[in-house]
Amino acid sequence: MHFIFDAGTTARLYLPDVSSRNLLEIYGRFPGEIHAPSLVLGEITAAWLAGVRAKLLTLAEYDELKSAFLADVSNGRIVIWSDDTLHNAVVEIQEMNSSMLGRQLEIRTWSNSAAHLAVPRIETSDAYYLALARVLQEANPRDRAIVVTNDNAAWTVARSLGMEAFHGRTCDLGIGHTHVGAPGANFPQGRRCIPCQLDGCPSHFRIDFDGAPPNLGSGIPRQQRTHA
Amino acid sequence: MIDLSPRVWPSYSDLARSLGVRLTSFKRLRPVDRLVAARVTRKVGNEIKVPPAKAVDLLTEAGLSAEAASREVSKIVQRRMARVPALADDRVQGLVPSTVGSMQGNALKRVFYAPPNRPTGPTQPGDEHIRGLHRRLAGRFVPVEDYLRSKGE
Repeated sequence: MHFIFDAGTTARLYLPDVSSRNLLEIYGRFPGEIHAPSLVLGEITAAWLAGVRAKLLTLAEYDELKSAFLADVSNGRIVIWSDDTLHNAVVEIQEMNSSMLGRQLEIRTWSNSAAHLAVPRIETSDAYYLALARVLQEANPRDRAIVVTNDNAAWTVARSLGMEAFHGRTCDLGIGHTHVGAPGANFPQGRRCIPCQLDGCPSHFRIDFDGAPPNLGSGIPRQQRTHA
Repeated sequence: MIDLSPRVWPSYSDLARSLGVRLTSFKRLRPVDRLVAARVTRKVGNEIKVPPAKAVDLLTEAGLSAEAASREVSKIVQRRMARVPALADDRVQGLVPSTVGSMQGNALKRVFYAPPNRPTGPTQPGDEHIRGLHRRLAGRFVPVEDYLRSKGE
């Protein structure tokens, strides 16, 4: 399996939030199989530095986060690929996304619930991650390439292009229902889930690597769910 | 990798080792014959060097996946660069022309941000280091996703 982490999930490997639980499972189990294009360094350091400017992180903590990431790259735990040989795939991804924009997409989960989502516009930076997933898949047709993101739009675009995608914030609400993010006011036990946070999270969701369901059993973000 | 000094290109011995065959057997492989015929190899000291892109093609033809071949060649190049610090510095500071407009299709080219002879903080981050970071930063709400979408500042 190949996991393509975007900037959000790469940053969350080191700076924890509720998604880090799922991300660390992949990190611990698949060293050398987490991939990203080289622009990821610029993206994650920009986000961490914004945290420093907002006084949510110290500069020393920022240095430590950056060093940990670079050491993972250096040790081969995270594999970085040049952006410069992906540009044709980026253009293709953006062209396909543009032609599908706004189209309704029916997505079924492993547990056979369905959602209808409109295809959103992809950000150019996200297109690099999806381009890498596509090129990795073409280079290794027998393997699975799975986009791992915390971004709802990137997740939806990946699925619209026929890629496997796992949402890092997939949980089971503590009651066995696959979900993404804060459940909202209509969830009776949901008070402690708003805001969605690792501390006190009731979820028992674990990625099923042995069964390896499609999209690793990902929840569907912001869906209007109907049960089949 | 195309513009790297031949000093850091993989040698026949490196590639034979990567394939787990003896040097004499390696030299008899058909792709190696083709390399010789194409006159793309260089002799540096006692070693015969193969341009990295050709080395990836050769390993791929010998049965490795494109990704594994690329990873293997990158490892060899990085190892050799580490032995020649001046070359590593050149690589880091130099500008490399883009392939935009000149490349057909797509390719995978592995990159390392810093040559391995430069310290990049902890050398073995692994699970334990990350779990330590998480323990210290737990409960700290930093809206990384908002910052990535430029909404947070």
